[in-house]
Amino acid sequence: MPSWTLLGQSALSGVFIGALYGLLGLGLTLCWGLLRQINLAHFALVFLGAYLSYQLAAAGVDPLLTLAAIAPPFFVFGALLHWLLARFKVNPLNTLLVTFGFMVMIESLIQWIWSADFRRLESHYAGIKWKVGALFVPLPELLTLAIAVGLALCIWAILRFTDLGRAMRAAAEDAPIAAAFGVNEKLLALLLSGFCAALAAVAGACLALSHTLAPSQIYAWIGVVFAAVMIGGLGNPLGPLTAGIVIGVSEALTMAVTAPAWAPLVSFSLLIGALLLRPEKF
Amino acid sequence: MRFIVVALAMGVVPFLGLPAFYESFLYLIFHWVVLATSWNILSGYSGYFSFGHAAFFGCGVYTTAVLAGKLGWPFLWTLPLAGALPAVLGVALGAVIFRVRALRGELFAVLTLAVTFVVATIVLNTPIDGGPGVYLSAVAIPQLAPSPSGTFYLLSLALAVSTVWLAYAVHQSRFGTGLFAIHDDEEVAEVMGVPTYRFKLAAFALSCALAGLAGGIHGVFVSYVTVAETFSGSTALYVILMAALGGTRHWLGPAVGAAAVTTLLYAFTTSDFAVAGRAAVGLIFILVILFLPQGILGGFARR
Repeated sequence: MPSWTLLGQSALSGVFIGALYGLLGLGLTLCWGLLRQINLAHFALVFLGAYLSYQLAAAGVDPLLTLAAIAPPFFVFGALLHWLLARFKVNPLNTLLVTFGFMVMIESLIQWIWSADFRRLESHYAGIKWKVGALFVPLPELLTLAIAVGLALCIWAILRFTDLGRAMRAAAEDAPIAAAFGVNEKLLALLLSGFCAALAAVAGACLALSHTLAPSQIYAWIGVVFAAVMIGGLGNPLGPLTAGIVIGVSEALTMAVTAPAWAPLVSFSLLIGALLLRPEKF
Repeated sequence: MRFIVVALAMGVVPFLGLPAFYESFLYLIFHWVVLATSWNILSGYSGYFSFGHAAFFGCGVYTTAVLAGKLGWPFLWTLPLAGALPAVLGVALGAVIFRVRALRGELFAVLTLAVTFVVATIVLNTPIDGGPGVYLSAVAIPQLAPSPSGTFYLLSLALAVSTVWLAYAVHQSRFGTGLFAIHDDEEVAEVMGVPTYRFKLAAFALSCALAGLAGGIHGVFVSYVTVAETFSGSTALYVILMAALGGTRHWLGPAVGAAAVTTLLYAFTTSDFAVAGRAAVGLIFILVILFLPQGILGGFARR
């Protein structure tokens, strides 16, 4: 049995990695729940954002400020992607296949520009960590957690309390009826899809702060982030974050107590259990 | 009958004395034909898109790897089990999954994807693999043809023709009609008297068994198997890609898609433009789904 300090540190790193799962899952769950699009390209966009952030940071820009440059073009890409999918009336399952095509193309682009080697963003954030009690708290991970919690709460509040959010939820529920009540559902969907892509840019910048980048890593995130999205409930902005933290902590504790290679078993057993035991929620 | 003629005609290839390259290349095409066609029997016909085909393929790979590589069984004797174990796994999973009404469409896809990771983790952490991978280079390869690559060619040819024949037979039978009815509207099919639960379970078992057999042969063909390679997510994606490209509602669609994608990928990965080639495959994929949502043979499908 490992010491309490080790377990505490493991749980803390689980919370941090869970925040990243939640941040990656945020755009995915909105797209899936409100637009019925399963966007695999989201993962590739996250990595493209991370690489761009890496490139700009290497040129001396503050990693968080790079978002101002990256997010707008991502927004445009997301809106265009939705326009394409809506124009051809692609059904939910085929959106998975089309966005898989985009994922492969973006991955090839990344590999062409930055090669298949591992890259690491060096910034002044990386070295900073505080000691709280017996535990170490690194700044990049803490920033990720703060951004993930802040964004999830903001989006939750917007969807729940503003007219814009109500219109979006109505359009997701029944688009023709919502349109009959004066909701411009086509414009809203374009905005939402663009916004999801911009969220990918944010997740990318956070990923670059705390993780080593390689094009092949894109696929490593798909399974566990899907698990967080599904357990959290589609279209629920707080879902991926809470589920992500549960997965992250249980993975980290499994790693500390048994061998690291057992960790995926935990997250996917949680996913299977969640799907089988409370399917009425979806 | 037509299938036997095709099989016999193609069966002479290893005896022509061609370079081993052709046999191995055609082997790969047959390999993917089996995986895509077997996937289609459940997922294409009944609309239950599985992302877990790699789990059953991998189950077959590791059945042969353990029996032939570690316990010294003769290679061909391991194949029945390489087909049976994935089928049992599929039926056990299906018996739970198909009872839950909500697990359709995307949720079934995600659940089967998760199953792949669970099976992979178990194989990686138990003595089945344990981490370093399993070497199968010492396994004796039966002399069915003048060369080992010819033997693999004949084995995979036999399996591919049987698989396509089974897909054809299912397609033409009441069983197939029932699966297509489930695809179009499961509630209506149930009311009309289609035993949906049993049909789905039977299709899943058949699909898993064929994938497992392909795995059993492939493990010895590559002669060194690892968990990361065997259970990689790209296997499931390529299988779906091939079937969707060829057309999921036609029995020959996945085979056509498999041949096209394998040839394309091969042509690109061996050229100087491997990265650009991957991007081109992605682009072709997008264009086909957008402009031919029913696949290349979609227009020929009568159902």
